[in-house]
This record gives sequence, C-alpha cells and structure tokens, in this order.
Amino acid sequence: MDRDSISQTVALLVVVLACVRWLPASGTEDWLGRGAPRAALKLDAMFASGERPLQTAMALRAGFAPLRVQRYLAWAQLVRQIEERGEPGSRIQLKGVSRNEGWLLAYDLYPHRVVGETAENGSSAADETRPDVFAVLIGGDVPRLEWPAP
Amino acid sequence: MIALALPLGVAMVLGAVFDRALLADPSRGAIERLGRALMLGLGLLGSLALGLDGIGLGVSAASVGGGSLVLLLLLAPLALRVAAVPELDATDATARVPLGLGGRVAWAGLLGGAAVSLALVVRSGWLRPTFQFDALTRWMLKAKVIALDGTLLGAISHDPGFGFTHQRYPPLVSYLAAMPNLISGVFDDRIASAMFPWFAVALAAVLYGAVSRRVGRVGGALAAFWFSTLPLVAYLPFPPPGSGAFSAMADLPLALFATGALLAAADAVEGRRARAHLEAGVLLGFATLTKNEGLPLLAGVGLAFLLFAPTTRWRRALGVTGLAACLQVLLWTRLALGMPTLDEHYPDRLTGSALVEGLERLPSILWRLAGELGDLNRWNVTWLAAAALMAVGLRRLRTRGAGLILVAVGVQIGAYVLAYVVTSWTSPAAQASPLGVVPYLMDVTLGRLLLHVAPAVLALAVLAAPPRADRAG
Repeated sequence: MDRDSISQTVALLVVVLACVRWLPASGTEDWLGRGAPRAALKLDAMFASGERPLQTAMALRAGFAPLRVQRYLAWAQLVRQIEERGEPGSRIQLKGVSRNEGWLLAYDLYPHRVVGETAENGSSAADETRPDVFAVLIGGDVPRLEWPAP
Repeated sequence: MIALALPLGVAMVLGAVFDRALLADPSRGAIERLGRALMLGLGLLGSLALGLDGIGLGVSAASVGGGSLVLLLLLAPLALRVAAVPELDATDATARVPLGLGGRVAWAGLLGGAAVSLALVVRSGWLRPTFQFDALTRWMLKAKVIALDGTLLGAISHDPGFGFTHQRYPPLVSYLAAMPNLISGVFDDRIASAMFPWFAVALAAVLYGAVSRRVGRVGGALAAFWFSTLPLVAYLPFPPPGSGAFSAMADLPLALFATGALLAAADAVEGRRARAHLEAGVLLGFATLTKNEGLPLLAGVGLAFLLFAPTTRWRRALGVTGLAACLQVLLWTRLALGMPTLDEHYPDRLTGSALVEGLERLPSILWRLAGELGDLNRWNVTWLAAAALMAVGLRRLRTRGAGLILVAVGVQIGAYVLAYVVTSWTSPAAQASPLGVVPYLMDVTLGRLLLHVAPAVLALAVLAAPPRADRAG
C-alpha cells in the first residue's frame, strides 16, 4: 500500500467513524460509541417539548446522578421562593452547604449575596444565624429554607 | 430570538467591515467570509464591551450599540477604499483545479455532514440552559453580573466572597454571553449560552476556507466535517465537563481565536498576503482576552516567528505578539491587577522547588495525556488519524507555515503539561477521588485543553495528505 492509499484510507476512516456514531446504540458498551448523537437529540427533545424543563435542567446540571438531581430540584424551588420575596442585594446565609452547591447557589441567587462557611469548613445546621440575613438555606439530603424573625 | 440574532448580526457586520477595511479579506467564497466575519466580529464586540466597561461607560444595549456604530463609521471609509483595489488572492494554484463529479459529491457530502452536526449544536445551545459547573460559576455568573449591574468592575470584582469566579480570568466570553440579556432586559442563561455554538460555526467555516485555499475544496470540507463531528464538540455533554460547543465554556471560543491566529500566522511567514501579521496579532489578542491559556499561545507564536519568519524575524515576532499583548494589557490586565489571585495562578507556581517537587508526576501525566489522545469516545480517531496523515504526508509539511503551527502547538501542549506538574490545585471532589488530585484534574480538564489546539492539528493533517479528489481535478 503506497502513502497515498494510506492517507485516503485514514481520511475515509475518520468520516466513516464519525457517521457510525449516529447509528442506534447497541445496548451494550461498544468502542464505536454508537447512539451518542441520538441521546443528545433525545435530551434536547425533552427541552423542546416544554415538559418538566426544570427537572430536565437540574438533571443535566447534576449529571443525572439520582440523589443529586433531587437535591438540586429542591434547591431550585427554595431559590424561587427567595426570589419572590427578596429585594436585590439581600443577604442569604448558607448553613451546612457544600462548597460546590454553595457556588451554584451564589450564581442562582445573584443579585442576592450568599454568606456563610462551607460544610467542608465545618458549617452545619447548628450554626448561629447572622443578624443581617434575609433568609437561611440549610444543606443536607433534603435542603431547607428558614426565614429569620425580623 | 431577536435578542440572540441582533448581537450576532451586529458582530457579523462589524467583523465583515473590519476584515474588508484592515485585513484585505483573503476569502475565496461565502462560507469563509461568513466564518471570518463571525470570528472577527465576536472578538471585536466582546472587546468593545470590555473596553467600554474599562473606561467607565458601563455595558448596556445603548452603549454597546453606540460603540459599534462609531467603530463602523470609522472603518467604513477604509472598507470602501479597499473595495476599489484589486482583491488579493491567497489561493494556491493546486486549489484552483476544478472538481470532477466524484469530487463535487464528496465536497457536498462532507459540507452537508458538517452542516447537520453544527445545526445539532446550535439547536442544543438554543434549547438547553447552562448546565456545566464551571460555566455556571465562572462565565455565566459574570455574564449575569454584567447583564444586571451593567458592569463587571463593581464590588464583586474585589469581593473575596466571589473569589470562586476567578475574578482575574479574562472575561471576553462573559461580555458576549451578556449581550442577548442586555437586549431582552432579563437574565436567562438559556439565551446567554445560545451565543456559544456560533463560535463552532465560525471555526468550521474558517477551517474550511483556510484549508480550501491551500489544497482545494474537498480538503477544506473534510477539515470542516472532521471538526464539526468531534464527539466532545458536537454532542457529548460530559465527560469531560465543558467541552461541548453548547456548554457555555470559553474553551471553544479560545480554539476559534487560536486557530484563526495560527492560520493567519502561517500565511504571514509564507508571505501569502500582506496583512496576515495584523490578523494574527488581533486574533492572538482576542485569545488572551478569552482565557489565560491564550498567553502560552502568544509565547509559542512569538517563538515560532523567530524560528520560521524568513527575514526581519525580530520585528515580525515583536509586531504580532506586541499587538496582542497591547490589546490584552489595555483591555484587561490593567483592570485586573488589583483583583484577588487564587491557587490556580500558575505564574506564582513556576518556581524551581515546585518544579522539582512536581517532576515525579510527569510519567503519570504523560501516560494520561497518551490515554486522552487515544480516547475514541471523546475524539473518535482524531489524534491517531492526524498523526498517521502527518506521517505519510511529512513532505508537504516542510513549509514555514506548517513549522510555525507545529511549534506553537507543541509549546501550548508543553505549557499544559508544565501546569499539571506545578499545580497546587485541589477540591473536595478531587480529594475524595480514588485517582488522586492531579489525575482527577486531568480527567476533568485535559479534553477541553486539547480542544484549543485540535482544529489547527487536524487542519495540518489534511494539508499533509489532502483528499485525492482535490488532486485528481
């Protein structure tokens, strides 16, 4: 086989393997990675249908890890409650919330400001509530929201 | 829809006029013109917003719209004057050979395949909200701040509570992501992230044009198809996190500007067109405003110019890297100097002791790098095929342009390996991982770091061994 034939074969291989991925998944793990583009289309169809968009979004955010999906959904619902009642710039205290979930909450809650230590740094539901906070979010398998007395 | 279409339209007009006015547009067709307009326009629009914020005018639909209009009025007379000059043609004689029937079928099939894949990416970007952790906590949070506060340089840029957003990271993509929200008046990360797939569209079109001009249209179409169907660009949401063109990360935008800069720099050292140096400098500047990883690219291109530019090497190296560095310093570094740094501030880690301490990691880093290059799920056979094509077509790579791209890509990958050697990064997830901290870091970042250089590498592979259809005529 000369150099030219090798190069044409390799180029053809690139094209064929890219096309093979569009075939339906085989059901077992296969090195050709069949079905991945179809899975992406299926995922997008869930958003396009408009059904359960929050659930789908949180599942995607949580990497479809079942326990995390439930927790992220709970967080999203608590964030909505705060958004409905809070003025921009209100301070929200986190107690016993992991670092990564705290960062995501900082994004979701902005322009409210998130304060408090992370669970990794010893924060827990027993932390003292700061005097100037508008709401308190408490981490755990079932996240909770508390409204401090004014 | 209008909130997304308007900034994209403004970017394309800005890019097209800039290309015509200052770069003497080397395009040979509509596809490359579209890609170049989008590439230059996205960089210009983001830089404009960053500049307006930097001089205290803030970022709003009115300020960005007004700034764009002023820029257009300044460039229009130059663009009109260039139109009267005979157009430069940077096309190789071999690429002008008319295609036979087989060639035309292959060309249409490859371009069609690329279009389908890119359409899927654009649709995913439009339908999905932002979901990647890094995208949400860095780029999107900054975009939200820009959209809601009209500036990124307010209190949060110095607030230690927002340290996790990496305040010193160059924020060009956040300004771009905020554009649709400035028009709609509300922040919606679904629309903000819909800006990102357009970087992939521009990259495919730029690759098509640049490769077509050198080896013919089928080669250009193969390069565009190859890039557009890369699994970790087109449809894999994870792993690795954040590589997809729909995932609102800055890696694909950096890949666009890096590839554009490398292809322009290759044109420059080969003397294909007069203003390729300027184009390389501007695009390198955009790359450094997109991610810190644009800085090693700047060093790599500077070094490659010294090695491969035929004459006046120092002047050309200084001109290209100097222009890029000026853009970076004027638009971002001067503003970022007072902002907090983090454990990921790599220049601080480049010490002799950190290097010696981290050297024991090198074998496992190289092993993981090799594993990533051979990962069929993420890359198909891209790296193996690129190596094979470059090996069989080595003769065609003995050009100054190919040498420049190879050296710059080598420096870039070397910089990433060095970063893994000296890094002190850690996270709760990494500490809990049975892999260990650095392997975990590589697992979640290496794929998207390699994405920065992958389009240039696959362009080189096609240039080394172009499809027979182009050569048969």
